[in-house]
Amino acid sequence: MSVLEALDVSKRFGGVEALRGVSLSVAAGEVVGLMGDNGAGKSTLMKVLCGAYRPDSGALRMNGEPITMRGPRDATAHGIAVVYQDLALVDQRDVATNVFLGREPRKGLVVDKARMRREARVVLDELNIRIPSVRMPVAGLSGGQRQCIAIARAVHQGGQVVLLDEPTAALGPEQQANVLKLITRLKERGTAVIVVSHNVDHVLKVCDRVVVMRAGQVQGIRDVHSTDAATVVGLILGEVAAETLAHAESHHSLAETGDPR
Amino acid sequence: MTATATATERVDAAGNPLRRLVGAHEFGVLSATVLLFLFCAFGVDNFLTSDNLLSVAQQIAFIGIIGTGMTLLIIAGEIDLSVGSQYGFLSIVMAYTVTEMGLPVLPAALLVIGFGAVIGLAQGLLTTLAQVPSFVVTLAGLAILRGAALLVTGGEPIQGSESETYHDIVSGFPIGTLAAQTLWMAAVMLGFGWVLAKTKFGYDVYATGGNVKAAVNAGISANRVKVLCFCVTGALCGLAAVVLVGWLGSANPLTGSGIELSVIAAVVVGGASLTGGVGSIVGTLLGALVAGLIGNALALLGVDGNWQQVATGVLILAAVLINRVVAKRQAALR
Repeated sequence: MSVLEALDVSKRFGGVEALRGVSLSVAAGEVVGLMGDNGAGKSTLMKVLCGAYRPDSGALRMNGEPITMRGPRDATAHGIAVVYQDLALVDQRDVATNVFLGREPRKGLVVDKARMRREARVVLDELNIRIPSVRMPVAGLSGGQRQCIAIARAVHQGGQVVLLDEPTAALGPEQQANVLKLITRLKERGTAVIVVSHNVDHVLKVCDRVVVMRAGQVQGIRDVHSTDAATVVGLILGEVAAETLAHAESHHSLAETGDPR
Repeated sequence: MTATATATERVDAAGNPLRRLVGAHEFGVLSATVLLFLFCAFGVDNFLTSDNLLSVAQQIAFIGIIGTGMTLLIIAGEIDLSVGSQYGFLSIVMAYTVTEMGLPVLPAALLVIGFGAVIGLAQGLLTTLAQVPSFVVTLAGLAILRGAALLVTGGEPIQGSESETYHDIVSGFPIGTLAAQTLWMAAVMLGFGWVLAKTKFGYDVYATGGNVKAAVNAGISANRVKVLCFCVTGALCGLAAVVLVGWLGSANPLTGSGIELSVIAAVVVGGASLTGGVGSIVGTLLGALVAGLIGNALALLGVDGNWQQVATGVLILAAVLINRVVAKRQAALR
């Protein structure tokens, strides 16, 4: 069963049709990779999913219930968490404070620092994120560690669906591996994840399905176990013809209805 | 379970106290204060007397009170250049309400503090909603409020209250030669030091100044935080004005002119970053103390008072340079 579903969503900016009837779903414990060339509509779709844009038509469903979102706060309330690249952390503050940013636990009027440190460590341990001390200011951490802390916050603050925008961009190979490991860990915990990425290898490595967008439409949906990098790149470039779309979709919906879950 | 709990505590335990001290943003100003104090204690006659030290504490009281508001603002990533003019204008308002309008002192004082908060509100709204940089908004405020103070008074000092009680409460000597002004400063700094370091609002102030987009994404209303910091600063200018008028018994429209520089100097020397997100009330107190000690030592040594200005400028430069070194070393140390 899908946690978050977008059905036939369209969004137009003036004369530009950014999204033309896009449908997408993600289930608990599933990682969906969202790929496509620049201008394919990935960012617009992500912004619709996180409440930043309201779609012109189409519907969003959370656990089967239709939802409308007037802003990112509504998305958070519905359990949809977005991790923005480089827009998530306050460098000067320590790890614990960043994990709880905006939702600090309180004891009376005072922020419960001890509890914050303790719980931050529990969250980090649970997600296998290795940070020497939760007292460190995040400015001193690597890009990969910072990305992981941002993701930990999304999860800790009750995200059932976590949207990641280019989580491995601008990271070194080792740090990329850590972030990918964390995505796998989220999947194991039953979190639904949508990852926007330009990196086919990463998508094939951690995702269950890859959704390729082109010119505001879904060009194709593939199960990563039955596809390869060449096919995905072909879909992105529009070289794998769109008629396979119909096949892919019916294939997928058959798979879903036949799914005992 | 207990094993993991203790392991966790060990991993996240506070570091060695000495390392933490050396790594703190206030380390530069703290060492400057200590060095300066030792130098004065041994090299300057009449420095190490309780009367002299308490008079330094009295002299920095106004910088300390107003600097507390400025600390909040600078941490939140904004600045208020109009504090000197607010202080002067509100002094006039205080004197005017008790003499011309005949209001009793307490309601007049509350009115003045409230008026300060309203000035802060206006400047804060212009900064956040109209998106005019606070540097510009408060530069305009500096000119407007000073002009208003001069217009209202015709440029002449005006009489304040003659109430003895008022005078004693704001500027008496409750314990020996410890001045009430110092106690007012201590109360303000303790109060807001607690708010800044411990409360949710304080956390929001740091987050707003540190990374405003991250703060907003995390559901913090950054504009509200900034406006509140402007209001606090205005209200504290009002409090400083109330204390001053009670002390002097009169108000001068030129009160506080140029004081914004001393206030900003205290905050920056105290380790705060003008780009926001870093700073503390303890730092500001030490920053004000260093400037006060330099002035005091120069006066005791019989040096021309104008050298104090030069010394303050050198101090700001030195502090910023030291803070830069400390910031670089922090990543390595922690």
